[in-house]
Amino acid sequence: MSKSNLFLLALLVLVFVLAGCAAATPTPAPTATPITAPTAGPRPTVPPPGELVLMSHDSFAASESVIKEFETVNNVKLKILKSGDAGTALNKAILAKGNPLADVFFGVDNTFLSRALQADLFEAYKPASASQIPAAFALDPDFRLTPVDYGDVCLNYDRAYFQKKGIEPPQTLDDLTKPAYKGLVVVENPATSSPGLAFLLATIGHFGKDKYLDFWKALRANDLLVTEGWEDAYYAKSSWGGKGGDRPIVVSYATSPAAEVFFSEGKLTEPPTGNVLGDGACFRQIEFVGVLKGAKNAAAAKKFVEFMLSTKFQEDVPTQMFVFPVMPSTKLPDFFKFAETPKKPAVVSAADIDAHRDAWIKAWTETVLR
Amino acid sequence: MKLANALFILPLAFLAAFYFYPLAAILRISFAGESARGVWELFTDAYYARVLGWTIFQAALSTLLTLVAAFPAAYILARYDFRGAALLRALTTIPFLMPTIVVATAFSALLGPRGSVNLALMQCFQLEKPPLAILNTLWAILLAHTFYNFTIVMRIVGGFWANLDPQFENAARVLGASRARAFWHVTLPLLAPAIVAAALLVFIFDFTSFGVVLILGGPRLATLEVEIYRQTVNLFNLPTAAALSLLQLVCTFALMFAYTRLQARLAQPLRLRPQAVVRRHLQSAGERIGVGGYLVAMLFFLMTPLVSIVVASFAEGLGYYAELFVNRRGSITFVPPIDAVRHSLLFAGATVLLATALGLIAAYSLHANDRQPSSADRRHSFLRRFPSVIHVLDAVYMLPLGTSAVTLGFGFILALGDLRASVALVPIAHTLVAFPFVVRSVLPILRSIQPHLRQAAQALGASPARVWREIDLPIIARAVLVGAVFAFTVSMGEFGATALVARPEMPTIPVAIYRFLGQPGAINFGQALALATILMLVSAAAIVAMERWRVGDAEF
Amino acid sequence: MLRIIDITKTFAGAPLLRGISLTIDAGEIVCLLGPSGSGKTTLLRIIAGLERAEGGRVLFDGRAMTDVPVHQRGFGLMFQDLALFPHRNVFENVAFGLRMQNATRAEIRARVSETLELVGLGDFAARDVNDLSGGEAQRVALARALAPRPRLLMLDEPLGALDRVLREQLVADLRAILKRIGMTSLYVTHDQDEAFAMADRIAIIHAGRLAQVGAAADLYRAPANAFVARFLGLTNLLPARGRADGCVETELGVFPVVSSVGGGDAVALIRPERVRLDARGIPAHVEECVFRAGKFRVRVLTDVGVRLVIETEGALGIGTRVGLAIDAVEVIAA
Repeated sequence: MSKSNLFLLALLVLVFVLAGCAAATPTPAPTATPITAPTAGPRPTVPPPGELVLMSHDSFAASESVIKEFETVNNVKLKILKSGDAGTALNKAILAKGNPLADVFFGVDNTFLSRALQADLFEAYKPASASQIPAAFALDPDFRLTPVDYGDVCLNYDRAYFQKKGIEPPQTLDDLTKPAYKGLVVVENPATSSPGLAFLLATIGHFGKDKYLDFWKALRANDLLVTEGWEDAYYAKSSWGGKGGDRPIVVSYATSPAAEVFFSEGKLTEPPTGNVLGDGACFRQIEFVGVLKGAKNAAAAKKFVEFMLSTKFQEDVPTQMFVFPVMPSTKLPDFFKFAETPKKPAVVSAADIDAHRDAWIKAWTETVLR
Repeated sequence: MKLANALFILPLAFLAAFYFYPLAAILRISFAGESARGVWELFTDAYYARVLGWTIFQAALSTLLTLVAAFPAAYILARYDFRGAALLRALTTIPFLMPTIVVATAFSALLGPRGSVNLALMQCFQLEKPPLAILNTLWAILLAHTFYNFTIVMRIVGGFWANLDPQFENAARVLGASRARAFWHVTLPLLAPAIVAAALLVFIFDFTSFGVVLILGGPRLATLEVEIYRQTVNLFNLPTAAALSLLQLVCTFALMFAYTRLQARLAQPLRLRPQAVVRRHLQSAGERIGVGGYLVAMLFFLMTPLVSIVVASFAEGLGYYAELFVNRRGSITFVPPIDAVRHSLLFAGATVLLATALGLIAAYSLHANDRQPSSADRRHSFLRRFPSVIHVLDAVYMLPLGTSAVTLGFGFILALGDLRASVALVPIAHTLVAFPFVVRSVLPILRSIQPHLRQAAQALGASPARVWREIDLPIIARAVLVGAVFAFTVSMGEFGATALVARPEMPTIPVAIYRFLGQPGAINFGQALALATILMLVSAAAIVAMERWRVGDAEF
Repeated sequence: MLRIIDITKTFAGAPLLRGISLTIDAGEIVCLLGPSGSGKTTLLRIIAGLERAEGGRVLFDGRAMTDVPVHQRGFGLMFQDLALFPHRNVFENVAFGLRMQNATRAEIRARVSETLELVGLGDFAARDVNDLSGGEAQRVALARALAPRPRLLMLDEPLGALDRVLREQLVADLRAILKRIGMTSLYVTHDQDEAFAMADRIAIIHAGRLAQVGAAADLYRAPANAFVARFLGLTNLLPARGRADGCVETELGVFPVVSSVGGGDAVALIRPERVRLDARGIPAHVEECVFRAGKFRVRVLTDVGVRLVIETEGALGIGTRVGLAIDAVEVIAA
């Protein structure tokens, strides 16, 4: 290699190093303006007074009228940032710590709770109505994270299928390993899917840390089908979803049967699917909201936390996100009569989840996929 | 030529600002403190070796199959002139931009245990059980990868072939070579640069494949990309994720570097001919049957899944489409489909402009090492003096393709300050993955232009700009178009990075599709299919329009 | 050896070849001479098998070639643009045909070096074909065509791109080489000098037909029609009407006829050497005067408006008044 070659190579290396050094400064500053940013409007550094930025995951939804009301009452404009699935959104928030992208963050669930708290992302703020929240949901006594809604991950089954075959639908997790249910079950991979992980946690909660793998071994032997995500399981592999699938038992949400009715445009008077609600067969996901440390508009953020617990918002939760509001007094919409809740969902503590998540998923992968 | 030097810096500057800088930021954070652990894990845990081995294996096999399947299509579209060729080209591009989950659903509906193919076979042959069980096998992965990447091979190889002088093949024939031997000994080696370019892109896509492998192949064995996602998002194990990212980068880079060496050896100054001279109509009956038969098979393979989506989207008549316009729940995140189409087209338009401009400049900076550069040429650019650095650069330009969206998305958060939440990040992220396509499409043709042509034009009094306008442009126009079409499709179909950086009020069509598919219920499914149909229609229309629009006055 | 019978071919709906018949004997070099666009190359491609004729037959040694595929005909073809394989060096280019015959390595090596020696490029074997000069590339293309010992060699304007001096040199070399190995050849060109220097016989193609076939001297001595005459550079042609006394009447007067071919429409061919300067002759003035090959070629315009080319021993100034005396004319078909 000639001298001049070395020189240019050194130049290239320099670009890397500089990039690295620049990244090392505690508050990253933009080094380069985009060469062309055709769609970029002027974006002020500091949100003008009256702007509240909410960071959330892709599934966040709310009624326009409800949000409008919040905006009018508090004289703020709500800007929503969606940042991928629940895990991705949280991780982005953690990376942006110190110079947060938003003021308030919604969508930390109990499987990610410990990670969020350990990262010291959130400002403690106890809303006025905190006392009305059932203790089972208030997992953070310091109220850095406040529960907003909850939902159960359960097995959905195809009513028509079991009626036609004349078999009883399964009642418990143990049923699934019986020969009658051979080749009927679809679960999502806990490594890539949030309901998949929740269902794995249900089995851990139900069977215990030592025995859950035996269950999975038996399930695998009973011709289990594993998919990457909920969409694929529910729409492509289930016997009721899209077309082509033949599996009548799928890991989904306990509210999915209700949603089927809601989204049938009046065609269905009762859900095509039912839930397996036996003890410990479901895992409860609780979603939290919190005020981000370093928020530019912390005052409005706190108001938003309050607002999420208000009757108005809580009543909006079922129709928009198909989960249950945490406030027990909330009136549920009519179609939610089809949304069943398990009497005894499986319990695994947030701290346990965070400590063992990696090991559990690895062990599951070894047992089920290999 | 100060201007040229300054221009050549542009792609590098773009990469530095929006790729290396964010990447360095995330790697730095990841390796801070316990860097050794993540890397050490890679070497000690046999699991990762298996993942890497599997990733390479399925990618190599998929690439081979795609090459074989799409090669005749490249030939037919390069050599024959027939009505509907432009439409055909546009149609083959559509699979490339379909969201994986939609395709997976379509494949399921066709090939699943209760899919139409299996049901038909069971009825025909009175079978008890569905005879086809390819879902969740390696076959499904190969099939899906071929389905997706067919157009890459067809367009890049076909675009090059279309300008290749058939006289070489004639010469071989007269010298006693049968059709097959003439192809093997002459045509194939001359096509090699384009074949290698296409194979490389396909391989990188298969190598970093995420959704296809997971959904259609089943999650039995993850690819590197999947493992990176898992480590980053689920486990937030940044050291291991970063180590895996680096591993993937090193693989991509090594591959690219080997490729650039190979291509430097393969590149031949060819007499590229206008397509009008080279193309011909179908003549004999045998020709018609052969070409027609292949095209029918090709369309069947590529279109059946798509058609099944379209058909399913009309299950309720226009009901699903009408529903797209109704904000039934009064949701604040509701976006009318027209807006999603508008956003998609806006981002795609910006991406095409940005990626084509940067890609063209990058291709020229890489081409700068001519075989025998004249002393005048040498003065044009300091880059010309460093061929080996140029090979490194060539590989560097491809790196964004081998980087997982999650890694880069996280890097953006760390590195881009106030740009972090900007809408501009969408076309920027799309450009990062689109512009390698422009480079790969243009470079083989650029390298094949005989220097004499340019020298002749110069001697005839053309200024450098005029030489480019009169000589280069007409010859590379087709390749630029191919690159632009790819930039467009990459942008229209991109989901992974878009989901990370898009603003909820400006969703693209794929983002909107995933929103619908994220909820249970027949209407959601139907609306997703309706939007997917709209995505196909809009994209096909735009691609046909792009094909009509020619650069320069000569139709090359 | 090679017989082509009544070949017809249309191009884009218009007839290109309208029934061409030609025979080439073993060891003979025949030149197909005609202006560009006359269908020469197409005829060559039909003989080679690269294109199909719409009518007519190609026979070689009495055997019909129609259904024999290109690569089994055993003909060599040297392309106008040479079409050297850019991805192979000189040796590999020349060896290509032999490899297709599945010759052994030793045979190939021997034959390639023998052929390269023949074309005077003995030490070029390892050269990159992209680095060759025009003349070298042309010789390599010839060597490549000759190496597999074709039964017939066809050359399609192989010297088209070269400069005149090089071309004249190469024509001589080429003929010498082809004659030395007794190669039956069909050589296509639009250049009459090249054809004259190269060919044993020349076939002039015009409007899809062969206008005349014969040895160079015969064509020149007795062109069959006005086209052939004009193509051979005999440009003094005047419409002529025959008279009862055997003379012909033209715009310039009545002249005796030395030879007469055919009937129908006729033209009078006035060869420059039959025109003398004579003060009492046809009045004219000099338009142009060029020195060529020991004599002066002078173009004159007669007062009645007819242009003639004559030859003189001395130079004539432009505008000089001259008188022309024409001894006799030849009458040929229009």
